[in-house]
Amino acid sequence: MSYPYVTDSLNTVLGTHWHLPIPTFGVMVAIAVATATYIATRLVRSYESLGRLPAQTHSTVWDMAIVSNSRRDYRRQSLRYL
Amino acid sequence: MILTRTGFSIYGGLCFGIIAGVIFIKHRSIPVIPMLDATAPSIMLGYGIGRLGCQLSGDGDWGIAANMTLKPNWLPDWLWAQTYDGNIAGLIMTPPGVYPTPIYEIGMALGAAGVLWTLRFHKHRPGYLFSLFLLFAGFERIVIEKIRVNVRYDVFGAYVTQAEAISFLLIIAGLAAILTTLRTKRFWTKVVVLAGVLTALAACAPR
Repeated sequence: MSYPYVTDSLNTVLGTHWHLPIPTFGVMVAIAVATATYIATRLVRSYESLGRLPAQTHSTVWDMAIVSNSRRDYRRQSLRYL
Repeated sequence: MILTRTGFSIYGGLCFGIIAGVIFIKHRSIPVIPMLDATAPSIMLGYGIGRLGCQLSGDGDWGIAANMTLKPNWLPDWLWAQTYDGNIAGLIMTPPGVYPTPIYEIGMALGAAGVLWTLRFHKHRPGYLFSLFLLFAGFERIVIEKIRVNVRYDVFGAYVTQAEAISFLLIIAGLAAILTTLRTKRFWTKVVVLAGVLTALAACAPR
């Protein structure tokens, strides 16, 4: 049995007939990214304490996962131009 | 990504995601190789969870038609064949169905993630853990391609899938990196590792 939308699995369990356009695959990918980032952050913290990585590296892991700049760095870069 | 029903190529995401990550961490002046080591178990875990999404949504990542005569008696039927009723492609399969390859991939990915997590404080040179990840990722996929539905291409006379070709490159890269990062004074240890991996690769190679 396959459940393309999240509501398909809920309908099977609860016996309801809802339909929301939230695909199961996309939700699972979001869960995968969040879980992997959490685990990577934990390991980066361990490596920091062992001296394999510089301190505060863990603060960039979430940025790396979503490929973005943190607001703090954005502010620091903005101040550099003043 | 959350709004699409269909899957996307894992290797495209893996290769370009790692390249983008490397550029990002170099931009932040963070040592690249220890960072790759730190992310290796989590990438494998994420891959396993992603495959759970493939299995639940029935996105077409299934195997060839299952041969029930080969099924061991102790194994439940759902682990050997599934019909993926209500799948995204709208395909109707005749029982017993196809091999549920995402389930096998979940098992292999979680197992590999567990091994990588256990070895996270290794005593070898930086990059060893990521080398193992490349090796595991390559072998996981090259094994599953044996029973998976995919288009085959003629590459120098061998009919291989795109995933098999990429897996082969991953295994060779992982093997070279392991031999470089393995911290051992015994030459024969490296020879045994080289011979073991090449033998396993030969056993899995497409025919």
